[in-house]
Amino acid sequence: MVADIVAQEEPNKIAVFGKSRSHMDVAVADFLPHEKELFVLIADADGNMHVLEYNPERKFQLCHISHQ
Amino acid sequence: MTSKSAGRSCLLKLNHVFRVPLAEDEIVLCVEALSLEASEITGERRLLVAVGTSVIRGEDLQNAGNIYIFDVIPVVPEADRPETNRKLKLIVKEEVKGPVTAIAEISSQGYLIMAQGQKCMIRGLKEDNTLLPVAFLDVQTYVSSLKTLKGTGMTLVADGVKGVWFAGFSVSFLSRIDPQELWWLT
Repeated sequence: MVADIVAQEEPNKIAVFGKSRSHMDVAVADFLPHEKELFVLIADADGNMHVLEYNPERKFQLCHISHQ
Repeated sequence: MTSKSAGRSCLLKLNHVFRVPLAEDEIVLCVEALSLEASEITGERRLLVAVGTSVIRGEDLQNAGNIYIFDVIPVVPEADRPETNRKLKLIVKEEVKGPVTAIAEISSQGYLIMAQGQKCMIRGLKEDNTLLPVAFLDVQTYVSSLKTLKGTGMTLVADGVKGVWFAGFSVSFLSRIDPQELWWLT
């Protein structure tokens, strides 16, 4: 049946839009939308807090902008 | 002393209301209240409690896990304990291959996303009280937290060792159509 084939063709997908650099022991992360940009707030296992910026043009789309 | 006892009487006392026993080697890793679509037909949303656990089976066997979905239902309270008028009713218990380390609500359709071992699964509650897998994503090591933007498919997958991923989920246009509606194609 054509309808079955058509329905199967495109499965539901999860696409990865961005990654941070990989050596980070993230305990909790959350979104921090600000004006028209997306930032990500991270708490790591050493007690540091990081702010990442989402920029699809970069190699690591989630890039580090500050930490404390 | 008087002020101390007066202060104490202001505190609300937390009483044990209901207990769900788990297996001896099973530990709870996450508890979340989610607004899930309880019925595919009516599209009814209900606030349900999701619990993710890990079953530790020793060093020779891989960790397994369970996901439980509970509904909070009113019951007749015990005598002299009016606070016991609620209990958790188990709707779904599903065994999965990895420990369930994080759960969150995702998309506007009332799905949930859960981390089970090195995999993130999006599931929907079905009429027959099972969790239907909708989509999945392979992740790195241990998902320490999952956060979503309410009402969208956008999610943050935080790994305990290897950084954070920003991912998005969208339901394919065709799967939203009942195949019977495509009768004219046959």
